[in-house]
Amino acid sequence: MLRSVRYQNPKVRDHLASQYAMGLLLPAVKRRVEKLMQQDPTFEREVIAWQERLAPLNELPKEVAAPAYVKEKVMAQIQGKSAPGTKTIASWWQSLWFWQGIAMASMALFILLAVQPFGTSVPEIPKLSYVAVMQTALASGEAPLVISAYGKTEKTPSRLELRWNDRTDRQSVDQATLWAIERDTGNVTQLTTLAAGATRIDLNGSQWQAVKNSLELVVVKGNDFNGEVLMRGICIQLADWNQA
Amino acid sequence: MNQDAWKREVEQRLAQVKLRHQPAFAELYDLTNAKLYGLILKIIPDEGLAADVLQDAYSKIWTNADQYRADLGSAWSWLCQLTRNQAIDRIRQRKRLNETDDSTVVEDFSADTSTLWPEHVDLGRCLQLIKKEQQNVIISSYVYGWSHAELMEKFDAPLGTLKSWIRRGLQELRECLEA
Repeated sequence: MLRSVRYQNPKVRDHLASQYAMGLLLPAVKRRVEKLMQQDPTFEREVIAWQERLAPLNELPKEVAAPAYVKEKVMAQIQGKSAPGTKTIASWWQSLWFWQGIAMASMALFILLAVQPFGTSVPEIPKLSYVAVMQTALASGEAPLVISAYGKTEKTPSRLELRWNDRTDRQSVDQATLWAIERDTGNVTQLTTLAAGATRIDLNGSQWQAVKNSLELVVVKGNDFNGEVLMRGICIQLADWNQA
Repeated sequence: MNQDAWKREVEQRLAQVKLRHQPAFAELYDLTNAKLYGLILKIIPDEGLAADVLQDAYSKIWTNADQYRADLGSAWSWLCQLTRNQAIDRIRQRKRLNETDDSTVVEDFSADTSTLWPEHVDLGRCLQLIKKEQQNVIISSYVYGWSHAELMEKFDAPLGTLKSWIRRGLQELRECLEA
């Protein structure tokens, strides 16, 4: 930790913040400043304030279209990187053996209930259509939450069910919001505000549509999509049990 | 697209990139590459090397997008700082290949503010209020990424004087902008 008294001096802090924004620090000092920014949110604010003050100078250079090959290289590069949320779904899913078990059990239960006595007036059973295994940003072990999406029946609306992992610490989602990121466009839709202890959320038609078209579900602290991401998970569409 | 709309687009795309959305990243690239490449070329006039730095910068944007704080600053400023850092790091690792001495940039900013984005007029006005040498050294250092040693050579001034120009100039700019 950079707890030096020197870094608590407002003049030193302001000087370092401005010099960082200017790009004038020696590499070793720059690294220390970047470390301090990570450890000290107030200092991070000071640096960003300087960046904002000087930002208009970024408009001085004339625009020059980059060579076309740069975009190709960049896109190839990021597609090859194993970013937290974009690992291949298959390998990510395979690593979550516990949740595979849960999903399989859900499917088995669904099958069992679906083949109940024929011809009797058995209520229509909601179909489990989508599952998102929600990981925290600091994901290192088991996922803390699974969100399952059930389709509507004649008598019940479509809904989300939130099931917590008993083997992990339960994260507070009170006042957090749940968002869906659209698969093709990347547009985001706020699905609902979460409340502490909520386990079931009924969905209207447009909310269901947003879940259906989503690439990811994201739980964000507060009401702003740009806020802190608490959890996120790829939204997986489950095939019908009787499909090969 | 007007400047406000463009900034909002950049803001929105970066928010999506934070969530690892690759199509949004491609759109962010399309929106910003010409400006960022222009920024790098001022620091590194060699086009091939500048293109390499641009590639590294976008790679870092993808990797570090979650560090962007929308509540504290604009997406565009964050992208510029990251890109400038990348270019400055690269140029400090090697000797400059070509001289970059189109000092018109300094004049462009201080002479005519009519082409600037509205929120930038303030900085232009404040720059005109500080001493000429402070103004020149701040703009040149920022735009060309010149180190203290390079600034000493360009301005033919001792290190202490240069540092003092920059420090006092920045202080006065800050006071003017906050007044």
